[in-house]
Amino acid sequence: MRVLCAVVYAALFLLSLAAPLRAQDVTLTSRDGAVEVGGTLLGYDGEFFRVDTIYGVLTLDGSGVVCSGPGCPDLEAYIAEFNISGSQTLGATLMPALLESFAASQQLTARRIVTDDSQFTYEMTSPATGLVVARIGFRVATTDQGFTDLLSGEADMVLSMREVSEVEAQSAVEAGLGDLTAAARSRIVALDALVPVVARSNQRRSVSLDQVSDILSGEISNWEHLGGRDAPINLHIPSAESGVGSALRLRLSANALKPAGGMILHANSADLVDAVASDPFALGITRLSELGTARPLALSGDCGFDFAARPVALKTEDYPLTLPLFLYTPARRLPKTAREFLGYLGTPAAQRVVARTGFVDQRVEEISLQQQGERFANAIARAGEEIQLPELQRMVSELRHARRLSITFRFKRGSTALDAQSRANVRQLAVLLESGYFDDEELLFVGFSDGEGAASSNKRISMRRANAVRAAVREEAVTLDRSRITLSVEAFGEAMPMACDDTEWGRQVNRRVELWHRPAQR
Amino acid sequence: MDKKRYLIAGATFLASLGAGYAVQNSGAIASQFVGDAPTARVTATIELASANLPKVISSDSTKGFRIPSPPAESLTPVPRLPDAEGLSERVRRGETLPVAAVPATTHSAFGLPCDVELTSHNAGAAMVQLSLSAACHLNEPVEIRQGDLVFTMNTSNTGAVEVSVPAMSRDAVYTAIFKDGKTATTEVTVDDLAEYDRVALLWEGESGLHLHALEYGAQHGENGHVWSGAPRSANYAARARGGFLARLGDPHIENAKFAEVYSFPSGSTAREGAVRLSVEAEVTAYTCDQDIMAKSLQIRRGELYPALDITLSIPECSGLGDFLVLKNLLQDLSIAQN
Repeated sequence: MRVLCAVVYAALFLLSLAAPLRAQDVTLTSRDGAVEVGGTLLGYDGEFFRVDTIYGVLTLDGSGVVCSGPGCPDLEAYIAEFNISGSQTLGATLMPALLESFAASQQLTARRIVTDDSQFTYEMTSPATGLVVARIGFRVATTDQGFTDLLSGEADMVLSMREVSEVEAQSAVEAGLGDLTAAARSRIVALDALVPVVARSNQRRSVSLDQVSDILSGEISNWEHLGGRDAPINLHIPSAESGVGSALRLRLSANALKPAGGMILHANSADLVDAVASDPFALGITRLSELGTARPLALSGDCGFDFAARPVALKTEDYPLTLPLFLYTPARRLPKTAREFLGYLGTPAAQRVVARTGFVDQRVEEISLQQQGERFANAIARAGEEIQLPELQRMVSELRHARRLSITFRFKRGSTALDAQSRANVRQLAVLLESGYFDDEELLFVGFSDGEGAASSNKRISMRRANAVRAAVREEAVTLDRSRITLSVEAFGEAMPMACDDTEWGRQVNRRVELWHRPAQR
Repeated sequence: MDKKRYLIAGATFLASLGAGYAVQNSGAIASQFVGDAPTARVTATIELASANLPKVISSDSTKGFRIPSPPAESLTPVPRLPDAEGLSERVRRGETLPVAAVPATTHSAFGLPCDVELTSHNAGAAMVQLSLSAACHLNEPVEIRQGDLVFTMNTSNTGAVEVSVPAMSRDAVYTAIFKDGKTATTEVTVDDLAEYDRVALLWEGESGLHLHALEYGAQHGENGHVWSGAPRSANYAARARGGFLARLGDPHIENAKFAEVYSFPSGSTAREGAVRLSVEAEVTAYTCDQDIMAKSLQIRRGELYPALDITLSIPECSGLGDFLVLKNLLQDLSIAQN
C-alpha cells in the first residue's frame, strides 16, 4: 500500500513536470478500479475520507476505496482526537468512568495523563499493536465553559447540566455547528436530582418544596418554623456559577436568594455536603450523586405525598427536582472512535457504569401495582363529586392486569411540548419498539391531568396528551411493524394525582402521560 | 492434568531414590486427609539437577484425595543428601552406588535445600498472609504478583518473606519471582472479598505518591483520615469499624515496585456515608518537572474495574515540598445500607 503510494507519488511527480501542477493531492479508487475520484483531502476520521473534488466536497467510506497520492493519511498511525469540556458533575468521575469502560469494551488499554483535577487526557492504546488509537482531552469546569469551548472550536462534546440556551444555540448556528436544539445534537447521559440534605444527627426526615422556597427567600430562618427546636437554619447553597447552583435557581425560582440568616455558598458539592454533615443545624441543597455523609430529605406535599429521590422516581420524573445530564455534540462528523463512544453510552454496559458511579441510569424499570398502593389509596381518598366511584373502578379494571413502566412523559412548564427527559423517552421507547422488546403486548399511553378546572375537560385534555405522545412515538419508530404490537391510549384526567394541585410544581408533576403494558388481548 | 503430573513427578523422583515404600507411605498419609479441604493450596518448586525430571511438583487437591500442606514436606520422608564436598573421601566415592542416582539438589551454605516455596492462608479482612522461603536467596529482592497488583520485597537473612496482602480477586493466585527466574506460586480463595471495597495505587521507585482516605467527612489529621502515616490495621476493618491502608513494597530496594491499598468494609458497616479518596503527589527532587507513572485498581462490591494506567505531570522544581492533590482520580466510596 505504502509502496503503491510511493509509486503513484513518483508518477505524479513526473506528470507534474509535464503538465501544470494541479491541486489534486489524493486519488481515491474503488476496490474494483471502476470509480476514481481525485481532489484535495480535507480530512480523515479513521473511517471516512472528506475530499474537495470538482464535484464539490465528497465523503467516502475508507473501507471501499484505495487512497493514492501524496496527501494520503497514514492509516496505521491514525489517532482519533477529540475534546470533552463542561460540567464538573459529569466530568469529574462519570465521564472518565464511562470512557474507561468503553476502552475495556473495545479491548483497548486506557491511560489517564493528569495535569490536575480539571485538565487531563486519556490515551487509548491497542495492546495488539502497541499503537495509540485515540486521544481524548478533558476540561472539567462548568456547563457555560463547555459551550464556550464548543463555540470556539476547542471542544467536540459538551457536558451540560441544562438544555442549551437560546443565545448559545444561535451562536452555534452562526459558527456552523448546526442546530443544537435538534434531537440528534444531544443525548441524556444520566439522571440526577436536586436534594435537600441535613446532618445525620438532625432528626428531620422531610421538608416540603414550599418550605424550601421559604427558607431560600428568607421567610423561614429557624428550625422552630419547621417544627424543630429553636435554632437558626445554617443554609448551604451551591454557588450560582456551578451547574447545581444554576439548576437550583432555575427550578425553585430562587433567583433572588435572600435567606434571612445569610448563607454559605459552595463552588463544589462535595465541600457543601461535608460542611452540612458536620453541623446538626445545617440545611443544604445538593445533587443526589453527591450526598457524601449528609442525609437526604424527602420532599413532602401538604396532601400527604412524599417523594424520596429514589432511582425509579427520577426515571418517572415523579420526583419533582429531577435533573437530566446532557451531552451535546456539534453537527459535524466526529472521529470514528468518538462516534463509537457515543453509541456505547446507550448500551446496558454503560448504564451499569452510570448506576455504580452514583447517578441514575435510564434502564426501563417495571413498577408493579403493589408498589403503587399509596397512589391508588390517595385516588380513593380524594374521590367525590368530580371523580366518582365508577370512574375509579374503570381505572382499576384497566390497569390491574397491567404494569407501569418507568418511562413517563411530562411537559414543559405551561406548555404542551414534552420536556427534555420525555423527548429522550420517546426516542428510547421507539428503539425498544423497533427492536421487538414489546412484541405481542399492548402498550397503554395513559393520560392524567392536574385538578384545575372541570373534571370532564381535564379528561379531554389528558386524552389529547396521550394521543399526542403516541403519535410522537409512532413517528419516531419508523421501522415498527404495527401488526406486532398494539398501542392504545386511555385517559383518567385528575383521577390519580401525584402531588397536590395548590402549587405550580405540584400541577406540573400531575400533568403526565404514563406508560403501562399488558399482554395483548386478542 | 496437574494431578497426573504430580504423580509422575513424585513417582519418578522417589523411585529414582529406590525408596518405593515411600510412595505407598505418602499415599497413606495423604489418604488420611480425604475430605479435608484446606483453602490454601501450595505449589512449590524443587530444583532438580537432572534435566529430564519435571521441575514442578504441584499438588492439585481438586480430585480424588487431598494432600496436607505443604506437599513438599509430605514428599520428603526420604533423607536428602548433603553436599558431597563436606563428605569424606569414602563416602564421596560411594556416589557411584545406588544413591548416586539422586538428583544433586542444590543447597544453601547452611545445608538447606534451595527450593523456593510460597504458601498462603486467609488472614481476615480479605487479606492473605504469604510466607516465602528461599534458602538460597538471602537479602534479595523478590517481586510478588497477584493479577495487576505487583510489589517488591526483600528476603531476610534466612531467605524468608512474611507479608500480609489485600486480595484483589476472590480466587487469588500469588507468584513470587526472583531475578534469576526462580518462581513459586500459591493460590487461595478469599471468601470475604465481596465485603470490602478496595482501591490500590501502584508505582515504581521514588514517586512521592500517597493514597489518602477521608472517612465520613473527616478532615486531614483527624481520626477518620487514613493514609500511610496513619494506616490503621486490618483488624480494625474486620470489626467493621472503618478502613485501613496496606503499604506494600520495600523502600530499601532501588526502583522497587510499591502499592498502597485502602480497604473499607462496605458490606458489614452499619453507618451510611462517604469515603473521599485522593491521591497526593509530593513535589520532590526526584519527581519535580517529570512524568510519574502509576496505576490504579478498584474493586467495588466484589467487582474488579478495569485497571487504569496513570501519568502524573509533576509541577516544576521551584515548588519542592508542594503537593499535587488529585481528588477526582479515584471514585469516592459511597456506603449505603444494604
